[in-house]
Amino acid sequence: MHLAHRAHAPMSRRTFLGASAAVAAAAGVGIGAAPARAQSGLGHPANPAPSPIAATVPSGVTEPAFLENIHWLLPGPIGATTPFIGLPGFGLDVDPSTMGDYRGFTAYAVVSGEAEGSDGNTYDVEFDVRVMRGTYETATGARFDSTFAFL
Amino acid sequence: MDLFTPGTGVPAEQVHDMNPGVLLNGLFWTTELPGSSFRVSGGGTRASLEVYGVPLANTLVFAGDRAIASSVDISLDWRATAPRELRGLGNSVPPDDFGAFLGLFADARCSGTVQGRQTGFSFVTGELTSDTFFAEMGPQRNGVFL
Repeated sequence: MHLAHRAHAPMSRRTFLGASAAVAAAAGVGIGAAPARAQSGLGHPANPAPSPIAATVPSGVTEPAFLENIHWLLPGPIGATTPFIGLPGFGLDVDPSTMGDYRGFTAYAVVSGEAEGSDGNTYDVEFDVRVMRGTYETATGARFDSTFAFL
Repeated sequence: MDLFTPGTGVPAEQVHDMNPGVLLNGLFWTTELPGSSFRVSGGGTRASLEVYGVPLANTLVFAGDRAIASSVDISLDWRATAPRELRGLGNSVPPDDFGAFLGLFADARCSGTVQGRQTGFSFVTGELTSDTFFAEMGPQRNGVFL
């Protein structure tokens, strides 16, 4: 059974479910002891309620035009560019999180390589991936713990 | 998760763009994962993401009009390659500044594989690495947590 998040307040069904998740983790069946294959929790019948939407980071790129209003930044050394899209690194004092009002542990990378398709073709791959685990505050001021990823 | 036709320059010709979509408040390509899919160890110097069947939409190109149901399996590992250092400018800059956060990040190397599928097409990558650009990992905070 997977319960993805834990509310801080107020007491609610969600809070109760979150507490159950903590108990499960303590018992070694939740976060602390991963199953062999962690399925995506979205849409799973064991995920009884959706998590509240996290805020975006308030910043975002404005150029080029096709990226306007995208709440996303690209940490990376100045002068470096991603290998296939060619996006420039914005520098290292740049927020890698796509979530705002967030406190947690973030792992970020732009990875690249090759893929073999079922159509027999070889493809170049570029994958911007960020995992954000921690606490986030929603627009209502409620705080939740969960794991999100930019994919 | 972007796939390109090889040898088509930079930017390369994109043929697949699998992403979680944009939520109504603008949260961009960001989706919730099971907590058990992400592990941090070694005092924050190692991390791994192992997740299967993440539902995505393949828009084929960035912000494409089509949205084909697809899913990916991701297996990635991060290893710190340098000591942590303070990054971000916190409250010393406006909230919409790129540096409006604080973090203790270590440069890292990320590597692993991804498999993806949709009706009529699937792919499996060789080893993907961050060697051609950048990776980092560490604790951070932004917004109301500054």
